[in-house]
Amino acid sequence: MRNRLKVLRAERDWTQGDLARELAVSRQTVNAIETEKYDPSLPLAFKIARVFQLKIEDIFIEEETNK
Amino acid sequence: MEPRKNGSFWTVCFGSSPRERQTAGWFSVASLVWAASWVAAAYIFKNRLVAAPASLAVAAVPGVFAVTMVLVFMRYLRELDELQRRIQLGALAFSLGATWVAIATYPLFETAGAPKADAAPYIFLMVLAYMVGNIVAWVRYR
Repeated sequence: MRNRLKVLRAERDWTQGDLARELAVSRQTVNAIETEKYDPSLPLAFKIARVFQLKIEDIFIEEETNK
Repeated sequence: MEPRKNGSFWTVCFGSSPRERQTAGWFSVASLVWAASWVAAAYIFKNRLVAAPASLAVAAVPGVFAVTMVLVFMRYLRELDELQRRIQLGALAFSLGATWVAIATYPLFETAGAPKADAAPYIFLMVLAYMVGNIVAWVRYR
């Protein structure tokens, strides 16, 4: 699954540490999601969407629907 | 939560918040205390320093520390975030699998003439496989 987390974070001028604090996860988790090595759970995806005030599908893009 | 430097082995595998690090530290202390108590108990029995019923208490002490170690580790797992928990699950699964294979296989080698093994090599293998599992996760998620 692809995502726009890095772009959205950069738009707000947040560091990975800032976002990690907002989400109450480690910076490594934010990094792993951004580099698409790890797909977050549904509760964490909702939390990310809430932090950015967007819908989940505006942040996470399923590979097949992107084709 | 104050995240540490990105991608270090310690933070990827053992958590990044002060609370996670504190619990991981307690787990390390509990592990060392258990190992020390086990070695001490083995020494006492080998040199016949105590007789029954005191020997029963000496035998029970490492067990108490082992239970404490497990409880601290479970608390540590609860404090991790979902990726770190997934890393630990993978490392524990690898450790359990490697140890199970050894326990199920090595007795056949003993029957075929290989040296007899007590519990120590299996415990060592379990710890080693757990560490390897963490290193693999570190390489994957750094």
